[in-house]
Amino acid sequence: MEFLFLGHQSWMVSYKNTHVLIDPILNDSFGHDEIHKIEIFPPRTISFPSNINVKAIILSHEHSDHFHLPTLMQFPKSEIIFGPNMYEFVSDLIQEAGLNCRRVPLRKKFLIGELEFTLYPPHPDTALWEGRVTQIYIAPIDNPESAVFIAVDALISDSFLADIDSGELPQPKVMIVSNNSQITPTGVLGTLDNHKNPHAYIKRDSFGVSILKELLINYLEHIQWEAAVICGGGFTKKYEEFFGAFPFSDQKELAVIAQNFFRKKKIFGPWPGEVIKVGKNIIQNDRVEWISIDYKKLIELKNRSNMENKDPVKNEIRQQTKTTAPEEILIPKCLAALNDFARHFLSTPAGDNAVYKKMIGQSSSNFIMLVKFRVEKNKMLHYGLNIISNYFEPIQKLSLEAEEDIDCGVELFLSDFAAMIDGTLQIWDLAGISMRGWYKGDKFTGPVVAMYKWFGEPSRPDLAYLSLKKRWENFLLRRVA
Amino acid sequence: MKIAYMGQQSWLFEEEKTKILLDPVLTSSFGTSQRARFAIYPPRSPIDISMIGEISAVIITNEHLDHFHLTSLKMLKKGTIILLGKYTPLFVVESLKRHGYKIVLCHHGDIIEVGTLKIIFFAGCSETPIWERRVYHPLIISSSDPNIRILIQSDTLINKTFLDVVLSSPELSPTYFIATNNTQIPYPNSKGAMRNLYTSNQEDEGQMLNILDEILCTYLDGLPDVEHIFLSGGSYIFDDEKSIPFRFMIDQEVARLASSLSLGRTIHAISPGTAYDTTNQLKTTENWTSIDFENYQKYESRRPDLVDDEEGSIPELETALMGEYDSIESWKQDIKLIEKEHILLARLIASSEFGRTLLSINSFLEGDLGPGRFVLIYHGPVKKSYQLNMNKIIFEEINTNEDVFIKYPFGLELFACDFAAVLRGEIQIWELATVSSRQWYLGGKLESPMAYFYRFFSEQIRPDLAQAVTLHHEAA
Repeated sequence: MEFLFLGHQSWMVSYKNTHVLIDPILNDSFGHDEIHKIEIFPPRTISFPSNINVKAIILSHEHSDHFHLPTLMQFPKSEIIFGPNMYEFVSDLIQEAGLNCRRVPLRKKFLIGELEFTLYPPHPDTALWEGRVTQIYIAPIDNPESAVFIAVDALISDSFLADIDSGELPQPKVMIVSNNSQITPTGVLGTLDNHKNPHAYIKRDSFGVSILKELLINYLEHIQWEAAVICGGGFTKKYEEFFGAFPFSDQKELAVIAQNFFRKKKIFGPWPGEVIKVGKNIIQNDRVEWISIDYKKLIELKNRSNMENKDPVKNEIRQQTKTTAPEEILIPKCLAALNDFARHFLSTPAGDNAVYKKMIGQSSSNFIMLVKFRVEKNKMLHYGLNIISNYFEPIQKLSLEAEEDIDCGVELFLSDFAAMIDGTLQIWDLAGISMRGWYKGDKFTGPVVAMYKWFGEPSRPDLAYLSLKKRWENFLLRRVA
Repeated sequence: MKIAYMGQQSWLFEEEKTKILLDPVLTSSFGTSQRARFAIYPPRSPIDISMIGEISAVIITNEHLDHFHLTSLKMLKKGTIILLGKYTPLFVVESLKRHGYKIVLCHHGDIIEVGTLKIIFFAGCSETPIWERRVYHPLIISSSDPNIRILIQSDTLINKTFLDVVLSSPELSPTYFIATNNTQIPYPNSKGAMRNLYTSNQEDEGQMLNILDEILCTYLDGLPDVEHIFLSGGSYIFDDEKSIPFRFMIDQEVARLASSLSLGRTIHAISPGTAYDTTNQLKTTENWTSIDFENYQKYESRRPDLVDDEEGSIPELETALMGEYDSIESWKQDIKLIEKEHILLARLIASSEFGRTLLSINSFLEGDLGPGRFVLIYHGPVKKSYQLNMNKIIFEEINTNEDVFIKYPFGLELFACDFAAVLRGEIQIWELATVSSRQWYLGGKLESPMAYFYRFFSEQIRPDLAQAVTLHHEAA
């Protein structure tokens, strides 16, 4: 069985004459093309050979780095397969594009040519926005002992562990794991970083050590693996101060370092075009010719993130949309969306905690969260979430002191927020580039995370549908024509 | 300021005329008994204290032999100032007083000025193993450059209240960190203090990654200004014809790998006799010691091939640390001493978490277990085995053979002469653990039988034994 790495988290699995694509993106980039391209890293060009017959395509989940309609449309004859919990908007869009898709049950083997697949749900402790990820167990029909488990983007499935414990499935030889750490270099704020904490800009940490320990030790604890393959994090985002590749996102470099700490187990971190061959032994084969890497750009992108940009002032958020509608129209719409969000926030542990802290604290205001809408240069509109009314209320004049008094908040452009709630942009498009937050305590209880949950697919698949439909408008049209 | 490494966990901090020694072991080896010497690794010549010049003060962070080394301290002038934590066990203070040193007992949070340096004492964290509970982690601050703030971890986790101090007083936030790594990772099939006979070599995979994560991510969590981390500890080796260096001891390659996995930080591993100058960030070789390259080569050449070694052979328990008995009579006396100790030992185990674990394991490889779940085996002229009967809370003698590993989920093998020497205060438990013991257990190494022996025979629980050990040193 061969695993050809196509970049980021895309794979082609081949055995004898069976070829199956997993989460394929063949283009150089994905995401919202016009506004900010998300380019695959290491940069590569794929000229997919027409003589390879792709029997099926499996989608693990709905995120834009896994579900890429323009790529799927290049394989009109291949059946698209996913698990029972995939959002309806994914199958809707696929059907609108004239493609065929099918849901298969979890924990039940199914065959594609010479290969046997089983889909697993993620561990229930997985972050909510990765809750629909399916993990994929793959083995050749005639060699069930040479199995591979794709355990990306979520905590390892507990039902999968149960099935290998009970002997239902043989232990996988190879585990494919993803490193999606997206560490930003010195001077650049990460998506969930607290922007009011100066240490969030001046980074002193052994991130690489934690990543490897997390992926290769904690994560794989219950499995008797022989080789681990690190993928993921394979893209660059155009931040305002474009820094190139995320530090620690060159999985090959990480794998080479990690190998020093392992004796018999093997660690791979392939670059696009490289093939991991799983048989009696697990080896890395020569790269295929039809995927070429732009080595010059690869080095340039890596060097750029090595430059220590120590000036935190540069880390500004960037407006993605031009205001077309006047403020008077945007504001009531946005405020209504915020007030819906308030109900969510106050019912989470983070909101609960914020209320408790207000109750026992010395603060004079009733606000537990602040939303700063940027309108135009130097103009800011402030809204505070009042714990007594549970509504966001305008704050006319906000002194620095009063701002300090509010434990958490987010800052973003009014027009971007409006574009998000009407389904032009996704919350993920704003993440890291056009939105920043601050909070006290753990970053997973901060306001940005709350917004991911509320405005992201978990509770607003309708917004995801709208924005993806707009994004892929031209492709869908082409299909209809 | 200059930060100089002396080996194991001994450091010298030097700023102009101020010279502070931390936990100095100045000899080329240490150990309680002449029979068991633990050589500083990489091996170096004894430190020539006269080449260093006037010592302004000595800091002793804890009472363990590699930190409180009387033989070394005796090389210093009488009247030398020694700074100790207030709750250091009494035998240390008494012994130092007898030798005429000027003792300063420092409470948690005390600030002591020595020359141009400021030292702040912080008590260690209560979550560290009990035998490391009296450890202090001092902070040294330069007055000429207040950005040089060195925290010496010394065997303990960082006290949580210190992290609050860092948050509220950035001027006390460490920029340099001397990190302790006491784990000695043995090669597959070779000896190690906490080694588990049940562990397959496969399970050792990635252990160093775990340790780096613990040091660089867990220990340093909450210390955001640290730019330089120096690895310290675990760097001694039992001095005999067979000892193999442990994997990754103060290893420059590990430091390089760790640095490449970090942002905004450098991890250093420097050899004894090397100093790091904080002003120009250069490393220099000091003249008060030199590496013993001949011995170094000798030890290094024993490192086995990691890829091709055979798996699964059990390391042999070859010779006793205390050697052979000269008469059967003295062996009988030792057994008597050990059996007497068993009465208390059984109760200590039964009332500990270890006892609780033993009680919870009701079946094992051959089916249901009887009341015996932990076996102690003493080698000697005649092998003696005892099981801890959990229904009676006594050790009772039994016969054991090769299937003992299958019959008992927990076991510890020692030499009778070694354990008796511990009970007489001639050697310490860690010495026999490193050199001449074997154990098997279920669960983590801090829950292993030997870890409990570390507790029960530690300086804090058994100051009587520590006192006896110290008197031996004084007599030497």
